[in-house]
Amino acid sequence: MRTNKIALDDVTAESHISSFIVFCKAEKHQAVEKALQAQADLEIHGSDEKGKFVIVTEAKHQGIILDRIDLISAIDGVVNTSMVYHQVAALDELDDEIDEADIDQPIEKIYEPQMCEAPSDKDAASHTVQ
Amino acid sequence: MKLTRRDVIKAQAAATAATVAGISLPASASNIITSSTANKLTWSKAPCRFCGTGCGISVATKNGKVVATHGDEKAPVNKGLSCVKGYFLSKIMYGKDRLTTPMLRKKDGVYHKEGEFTPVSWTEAFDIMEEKFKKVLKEKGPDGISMFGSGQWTVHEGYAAVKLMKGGFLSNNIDPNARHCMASAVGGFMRTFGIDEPMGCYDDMEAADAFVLWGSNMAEMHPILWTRIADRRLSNPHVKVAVLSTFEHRSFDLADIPAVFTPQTDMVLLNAIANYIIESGSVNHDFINKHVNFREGVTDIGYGLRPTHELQKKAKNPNSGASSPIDLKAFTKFVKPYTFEYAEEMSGVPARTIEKIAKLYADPKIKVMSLWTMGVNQHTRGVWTNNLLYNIHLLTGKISEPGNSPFSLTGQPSACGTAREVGTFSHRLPADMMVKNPAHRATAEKIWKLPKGIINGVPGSHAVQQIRDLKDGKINICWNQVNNNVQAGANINEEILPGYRNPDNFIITSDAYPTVTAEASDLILPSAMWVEKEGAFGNAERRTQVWYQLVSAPGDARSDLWQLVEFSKRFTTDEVWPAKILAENPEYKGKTLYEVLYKNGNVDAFPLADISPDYENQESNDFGFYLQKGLFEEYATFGRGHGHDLADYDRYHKERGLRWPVVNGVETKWRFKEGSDPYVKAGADFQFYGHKDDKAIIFALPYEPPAESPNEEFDMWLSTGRVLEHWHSGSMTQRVPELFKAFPNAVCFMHPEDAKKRGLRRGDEVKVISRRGEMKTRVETRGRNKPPVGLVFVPWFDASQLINKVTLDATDPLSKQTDYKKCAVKIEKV
Repeated sequence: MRTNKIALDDVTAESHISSFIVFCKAEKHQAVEKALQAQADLEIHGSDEKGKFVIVTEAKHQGIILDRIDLISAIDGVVNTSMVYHQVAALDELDDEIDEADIDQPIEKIYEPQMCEAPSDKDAASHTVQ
Repeated sequence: MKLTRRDVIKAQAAATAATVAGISLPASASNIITSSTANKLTWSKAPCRFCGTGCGISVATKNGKVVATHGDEKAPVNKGLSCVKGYFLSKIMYGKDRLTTPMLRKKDGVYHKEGEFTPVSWTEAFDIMEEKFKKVLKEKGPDGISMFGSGQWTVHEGYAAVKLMKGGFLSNNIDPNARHCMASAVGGFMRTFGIDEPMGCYDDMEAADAFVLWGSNMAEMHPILWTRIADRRLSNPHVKVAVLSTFEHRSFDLADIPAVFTPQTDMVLLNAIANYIIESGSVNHDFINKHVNFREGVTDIGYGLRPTHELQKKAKNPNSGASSPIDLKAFTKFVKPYTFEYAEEMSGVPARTIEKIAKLYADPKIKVMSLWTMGVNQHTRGVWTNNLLYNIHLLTGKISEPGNSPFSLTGQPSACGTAREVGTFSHRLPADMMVKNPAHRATAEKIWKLPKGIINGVPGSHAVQQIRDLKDGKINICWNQVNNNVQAGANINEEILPGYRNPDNFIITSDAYPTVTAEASDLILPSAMWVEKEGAFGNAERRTQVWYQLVSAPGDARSDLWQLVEFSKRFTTDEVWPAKILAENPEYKGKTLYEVLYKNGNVDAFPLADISPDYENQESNDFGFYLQKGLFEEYATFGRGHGHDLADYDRYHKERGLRWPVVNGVETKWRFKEGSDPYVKAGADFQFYGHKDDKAIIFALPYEPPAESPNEEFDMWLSTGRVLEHWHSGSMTQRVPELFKAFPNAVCFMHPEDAKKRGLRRGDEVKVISRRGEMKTRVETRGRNKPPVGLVFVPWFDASQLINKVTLDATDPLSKQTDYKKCAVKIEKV
């Protein structure tokens, strides 16, 4: 019953970059990793022994990202896929090279979303997804 | 190594997900570097605009547009996660058909009911509105106008709307479409506890040993909360999940105890569980003796239909919520007939399964959380069923403690914060106060600085009544904001459309997109949405969340708040208030409603300088004062010191929300329990202070049949509901193409045997026919929803199909909430 309505009306000069967390059963870690590697357009940026993977993907339309998530969910051993990050960017800017002078900090330190005010909920900051 | 902007964005996406997952990225990845200038985005916080869960979202803007979002890992509700609705929030404001200018039906250059929609200026739009309002107010008085909003109004908007209608036009004809989703829940809370909204909070999900879903399909409707429950279940093997519904859906995947029951028999099951608790000796007598009263409600209360309807004439006590005191002994006798065997016969659920569920409640060692939404609320006995749910928690004293929690979930992002807490219902004032109560009206008049005795003491027309009154010509003006009633209301053919197209009526719809409701109206006003305005929402666990305006609305689109306040300038008190009141209070004479309602010394108390210099604020800059802060602080006056305390407005800009009551700067997680609720007196242990004697009420209420059941001709139950990808009747989510793609058309889910009996195959086109109307759709016998034999399920978001042409406008007689969950239909091949 699925009909593809998006391709017709939504060809744009945009690109969508998304990240998500894939949870699998710990004992299936290796098999799932192989299956993820085999799927085109997925980048595995990290994983842990409990069965979590950090995946990044890019597509011309965000609907394609959902299709990829569907494919991941169908892999044997995958329990859940949690969506996290989504950004839209102009396609023609993405290949711009970055000035070396901007590059001076490792990722972990950089990613401090600049909130309007300092967060005050200490409980929340310590939570991670089980 | 050369890096591109793509590498930087990907590194950021990866780092964000890694933070949420608690994974440190490998050293090689850490060497890829990012910087704030390479992907220069301004990040701010906002709650998701989609549902009542109230997830925190980090929102990035660039060049005046929202370009990126992710779950806010510091938000306690979602801890960095997002569901498919929230994942693509960046896209919802940029649909191609976004409304950017007011549109008026015109013929030959002037307004005409049958004219074509023509772009007009705000001045021209307000000119015609002013003319129509003044004409109707003159001819019919305040009862001739109405406003219909929703739980998507921000707190500020709902409050400004209530003030304009109840304090300005002196009309109580204002209702939210939360009437269609939350009114029975409100009725249940008010009846059992005397105060609205859940006592517990989402923290219960990490503390409970058992979860019982009463009709709710959380896996699809509240996916983030479902993740929390699934985490609890999967990491603690002793935890049990029971899922009850009239058809099998995705939440059944996690169910240890699945149960499919015949529509309406949830009441039988609940009484059978109460009976089991008593018979097995599991009543918490100490708790009951100290904190609970028993009452028996009157029965045979009708179906909230028009008084002329046969079913309504037959009812002995139509619309009565009366009750009389009884005791535990009488209650025991009352529920005695509800044995497991009787419950099995009525519900179709095996007695063994019912016993398993009953034991979750009865066993004092098991902490149990009950969860429900529309299945219980959109029910001709919705208030009763809410009462019956509280009964089983009260009998066992399993309430107001971590993990012991009867929890009414909500659908819309501010069904609690706006519709309920602000009181945008036709019978309510802010902070649970009632228009009928003279003392409550006096309080509102005092806070609003209005003349004594000015507020109308007669409850106005509720949602369904407004529709009937429009059709009957008793109401001639309806202003819709943030809702899509032509799609979402029941019985469209006979009730809604005739009212909208009645030549005597003038219908205004404010929306961001051209919905079917907008298209059925006479004037469309383009609205700003979500982070195009500063706002506040209140979620299902009493959490109030505030956000800044992050981008500007396109074209001439303006927030509903601006529309309401600006329009109030068009009226003077002399035009809309009784001469007698003005003679007694001459200082109000000749003032505009804008002056008496919004420039009243409260709402305009805070200067523009109080607004953060980092953010725009269209409305405040236009009116010359910090409008949102003034409205919020005036509104908060209603609840402070009365169990509804809100923090200072500015604090919310710094927090990921706070759960009220916020007393001395501290939020409340569990109400009514000593130690966690500051309103409970020392030594009381529990205190249900919503009632004067500090006790909650257990109600003896029987099973009563639905308004309509299948017969020989109309031989199937019809149930309606949502699918994950479509919320708010689809008016928002259908703008995100892949949400629409994921579930493009409404289908009719049915059991393969039912299909076979009718000679139907999967994909066949069919008519779903009721006594009121019909719709065409296609048969689906596989997939995510599996109805039992005898029931079909049709999602209700698709504008081209409109299932609600078929549904019956039977309501709960107490809450006036429509029952979309059951009527009788037949299915025919086209």
